[in-house]
Amino acid sequence: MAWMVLFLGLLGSAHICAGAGATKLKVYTWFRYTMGTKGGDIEKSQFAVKRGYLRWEHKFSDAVRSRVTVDIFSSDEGPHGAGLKLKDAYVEFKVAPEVELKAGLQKTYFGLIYDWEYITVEKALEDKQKLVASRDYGISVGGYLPQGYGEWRLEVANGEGYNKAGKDVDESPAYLANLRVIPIPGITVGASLLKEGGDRLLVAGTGRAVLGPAEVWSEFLRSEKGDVVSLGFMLMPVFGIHPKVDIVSRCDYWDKDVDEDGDSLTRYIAGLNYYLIREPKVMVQAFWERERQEGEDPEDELSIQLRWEFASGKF
Amino acid sequence: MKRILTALGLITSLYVGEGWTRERALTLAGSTTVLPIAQRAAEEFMDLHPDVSISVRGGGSGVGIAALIDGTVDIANSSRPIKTKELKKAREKGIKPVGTVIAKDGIAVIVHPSNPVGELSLAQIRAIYTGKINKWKEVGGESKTIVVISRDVASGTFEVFKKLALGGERVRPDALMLASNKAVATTVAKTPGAIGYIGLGYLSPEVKAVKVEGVYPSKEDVVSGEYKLARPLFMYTDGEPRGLAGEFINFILSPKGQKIVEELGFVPVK
Repeated sequence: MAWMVLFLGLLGSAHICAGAGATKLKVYTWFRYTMGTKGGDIEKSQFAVKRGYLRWEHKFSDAVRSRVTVDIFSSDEGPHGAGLKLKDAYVEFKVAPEVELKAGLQKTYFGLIYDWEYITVEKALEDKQKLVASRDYGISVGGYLPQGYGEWRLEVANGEGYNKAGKDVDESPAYLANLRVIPIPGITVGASLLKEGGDRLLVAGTGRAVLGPAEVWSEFLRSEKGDVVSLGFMLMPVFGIHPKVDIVSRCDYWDKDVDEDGDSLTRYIAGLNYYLIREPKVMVQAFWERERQEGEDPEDELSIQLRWEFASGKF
Repeated sequence: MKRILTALGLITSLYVGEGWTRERALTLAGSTTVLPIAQRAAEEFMDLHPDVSISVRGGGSGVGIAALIDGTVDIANSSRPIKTKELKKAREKGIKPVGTVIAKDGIAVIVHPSNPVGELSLAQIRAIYTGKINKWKEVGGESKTIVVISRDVASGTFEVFKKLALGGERVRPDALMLASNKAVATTVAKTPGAIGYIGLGYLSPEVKAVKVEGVYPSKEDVVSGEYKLARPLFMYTDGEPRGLAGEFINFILSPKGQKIVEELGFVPVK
């Protein structure tokens, strides 16, 4: 009921403010069928709404705007079969040409997570391995390099992510720095660093190469927490075989502790995206994923997802 | 095996259905300001080249540029230069947006012909449109209340006017927001205390264009850059215009194409 009230409130506000042309509403939904197997036995077979974003953006002026996003999704955590997350709640100020300051619950500008477009249904590697959350509470300053040569950002955040609050947040803030450069069209390289307290350091190196309908995404991650050093990488080639169809594969490797044996994990993903409509997006994603923890039986998952979005204006 | 063959068959039919029939086809999307030029030029170009099929859509400059970056159009029509953020997205995807100015557009500030005010500064226009000046006598006119008329927020003309004349400030909430240049001109012509703004092509003896910063909105002063409320209109392509896109843009830049530009009330660039 509370969600219904919230939703109607958002719609109502958007409608009221639409006359002034300053408020936009976007809805973004994933409806997914998942079948999971382990050692040949079916362990999961279910339909679910994996994401139900309601995004409300208000432009106060050309220099000040704000965004609030809530995610309503299927969940067995509560009595009503659905969960609610606050994903964005920030205000953004243009402080200089091509430089903006954001304050509030916002993206974590690290590695590939902050503009991860879910080309496969799987999360970015740093998200999947729970190194960083996609959003965090903090303040950031960032902008674009001249002529579209890239982007940069500095951020101070809690470091615990959007789903941790109160007692779950420690006293040490996380400091982030991110730089992406596009030296020539089609080639993007990036580096990110996150430091929290005296014992947590996370480094990412990213790359993306696009040549015609083919592109390859890559990411290298190194995490240091106390005495434990973890390493991993992700490689994801994408081939556009038709204006409406992309074939995607992905390979992840993650070694939880480089000094320990038998704790590495490999993940293989393959599938396709079929765009019924590209803008606003209506697409079908079909993916097979195999995850194998060293020394254990592989777990397989088949996901078929219908994903759609619409908005009251351009976001 | 049967399934694999079926899948391959499906993929092949998609190619045949949409891929191979695209030869000599051109797709444009974007600015609604550029839309009439693109549409008229497309009609005439297709008359000259019966083997060519041109599809023109509006959607706004941002939509057109996003479509060019996504590779779903050949030409993005835009009434503003590409933004750094868009350039970054384009470079990431290996797209090199190159803008060709195909016309210029001037925005004339108009009043009722009986209004003695013949000149306004940009600061005065901004003060009128943001609600700081409410009477004509504050800018050298009569003691009438100013009736502020604007284009609606979906209009590219509104965006440019807001940027160039208002410095990004918001239009006063009591302004009358109208959906077309024609509606603005008609309303100003019928309302003695009104002020509005329209594209040069919509000027007529029924309304009076005022000088802005001492310059009358003539096509010559738009071309020379003397008139401040002016903007170039672009067609963006991936790299220098070539192939069919190049042929089409060259046609718009030809005497015949520039005549279309002029007939539609815009300012030719050649």
